[in-house]
Amino acid sequence: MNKKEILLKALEDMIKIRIIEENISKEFKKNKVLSFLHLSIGQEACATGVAFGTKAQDNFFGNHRSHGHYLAKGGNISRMIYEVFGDNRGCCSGHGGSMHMLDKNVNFLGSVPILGSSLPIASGIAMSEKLKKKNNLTIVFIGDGSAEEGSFYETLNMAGLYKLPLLIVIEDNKYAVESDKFKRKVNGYDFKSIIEKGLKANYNRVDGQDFLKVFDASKKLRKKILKDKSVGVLHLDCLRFSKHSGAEISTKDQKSKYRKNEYFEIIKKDPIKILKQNIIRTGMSLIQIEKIINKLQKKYNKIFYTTFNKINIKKV
Amino acid sequence: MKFTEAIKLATIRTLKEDKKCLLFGLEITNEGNGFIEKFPNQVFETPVSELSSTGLVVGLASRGFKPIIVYGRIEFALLAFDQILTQAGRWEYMFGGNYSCPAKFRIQIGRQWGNGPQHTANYHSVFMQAVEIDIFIPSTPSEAYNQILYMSKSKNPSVLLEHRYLNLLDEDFKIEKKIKKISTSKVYGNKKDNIVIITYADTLPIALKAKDILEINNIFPTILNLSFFPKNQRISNKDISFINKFKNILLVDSSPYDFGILSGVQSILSLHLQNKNFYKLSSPNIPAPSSPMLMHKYYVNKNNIVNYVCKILKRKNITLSKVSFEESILWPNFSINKYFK
Ligand SMILES: Cc1ncc(C[n+]2csc(CCOP(=O)(O)OP(=O)(O)O)c2C)c(N)n1
Ligand SMILES: [Mg+2]
Repeated sequence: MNKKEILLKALEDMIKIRIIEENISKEFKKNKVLSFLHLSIGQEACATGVAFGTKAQDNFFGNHRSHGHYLAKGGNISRMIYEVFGDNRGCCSGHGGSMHMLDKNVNFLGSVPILGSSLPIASGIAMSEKLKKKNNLTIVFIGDGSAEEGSFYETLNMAGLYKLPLLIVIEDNKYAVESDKFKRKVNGYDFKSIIEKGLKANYNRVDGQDFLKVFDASKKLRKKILKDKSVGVLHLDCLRFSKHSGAEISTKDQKSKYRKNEYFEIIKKDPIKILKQNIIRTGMSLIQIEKIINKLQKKYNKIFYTTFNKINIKKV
Repeated sequence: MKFTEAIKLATIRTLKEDKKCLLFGLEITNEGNGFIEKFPNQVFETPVSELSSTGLVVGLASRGFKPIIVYGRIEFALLAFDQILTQAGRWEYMFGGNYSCPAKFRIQIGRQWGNGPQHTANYHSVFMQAVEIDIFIPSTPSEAYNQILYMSKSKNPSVLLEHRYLNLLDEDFKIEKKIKKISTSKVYGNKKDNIVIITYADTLPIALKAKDILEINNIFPTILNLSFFPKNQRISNKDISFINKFKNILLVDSSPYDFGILSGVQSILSLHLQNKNFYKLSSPNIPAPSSPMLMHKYYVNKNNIVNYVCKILKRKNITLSKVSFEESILWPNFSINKYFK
């Protein structure tokens, strides 16, 4: 695939995540669905960039906000929709719900919402792959909040000690629920020194709103981890457009006090907008791109409703 | 006053009455929570680091402070079990007395629509064998209020398990100036029929609804709701003697029964009492599902209780309307005043 093809394929995946989640949000509100929901809208470039920068044989492991990770990895869309709405045809038979995604067919090996839990589990998965002599990576997605659990540091040390092919992706949207990082971290907290100097792991921090940057950084880290037999951390600065949990994606939340002035950043740094600009640089016109987007939106709306219409929402 | 409001007001009162009382938790300093504005020097936001923030609280408690730490779910507190059970729960005895860690752990727990297997566990009984820790499981707003005040003054490490399911339960009650003693249980009903329903936690509102239906049909069960499980003796002699008045004992639990609180209660009762008939209703031995429909079938509902009581007492069946989906899934939102006569 040349660069333009990669970008267009990424565009499709990001639209897929956006449209599926927007529809989930809409139908949750309309039907007053009683279930947990953490949307990844705004953070699509993180999941997509990492999925593109790694390989099909690599494993993903997720957290409470993992629809995007699952979809970017190629997880079955219908089974995710069923699961989120509590239908027993879902990827976890309706037992799990939105916070528990699973599609072993595409090496999406689960998501768990207890913060920090996923890290040592993912290192165990990475170790099992290593012991089986597979030449692949295990990628675990966590938030900036989860990186405050002791298991983050313990896992980095342990996985470093055992030389495990593990990539920890921190999606740093600055918040744990509505508590911002300045309330939770020491002034001057320095990931780079801790991880690189202290724990001797590979570390890279890039703009998580920009697919291309995430893609490049993941590709490089993948190579390095497999070559040097060392752990990696990819730190992505990103923006959560939705409320922490629930179906609300509104300017009301985006403008609320706890976010300070983030609203303007959200307007400026929509990952799909940034990707469009990158595609324009390959020679396509905005009109051509909009046409493609329009088609993709229709395609994924249809896919969503084909499954959703089969759900008896009152009976799930 | 709603359950959540009672908890909040009691917490505010303890912070106000005692400057050594400190409050910790994730999101606790959010505007609108009403703590940080009033008590800027007593309220602390924690990082997402349950184990360490709990250890910090234990250390503070060991040096004369009275810290309270709040967890949004029991599953988050599990990360800190070393500190709760092995440290706070062991110091007093281990150091030969006189070195208590009266830390207060306020843990939200239990069923909530759509929360799924990793956010709804009913791990009550795990605390019961931490023999140095007082365990409080309020079922009503007044119990929550009084227990928080009581435990904040107590020398013992204390765990308060707050059932989210009860959040909207409403009760008007008189706020006492001083809380000296609190009771281990509360009795509902007139003891007319020879059956006692023993329950605790989030099952109380369901048992009360069942009692209403039974009473309309001239069946009068008595409910004994347990809410305080003191250290060293989890079920009081008074409660045991009360239960002894009944021949039929129905245990109703929102947790899986096996080795849960009520199976523990049953085994203690069977050591003390003779010729009793024990019955139980509980959730099955699987985790609570996320799907609302599956959850609807998971927990014991009022009809299950009504039917079983009729069967035990050999009364004829009562025709019941179905328990609606909403009733079984949503938080009960009614006043329980009428049950206090
Ligand atoms: C051990 C644990 N503590 C607390 C929570 C409650 N909780 C759920 S999501 C969340 C915020 C997580 O923040 P972050 O890791 O940055 O992820 P984000 O939600 O921002 O994507 C919290 C505190 C939890 N799920 N697990
Ligand atoms: Mg975050």
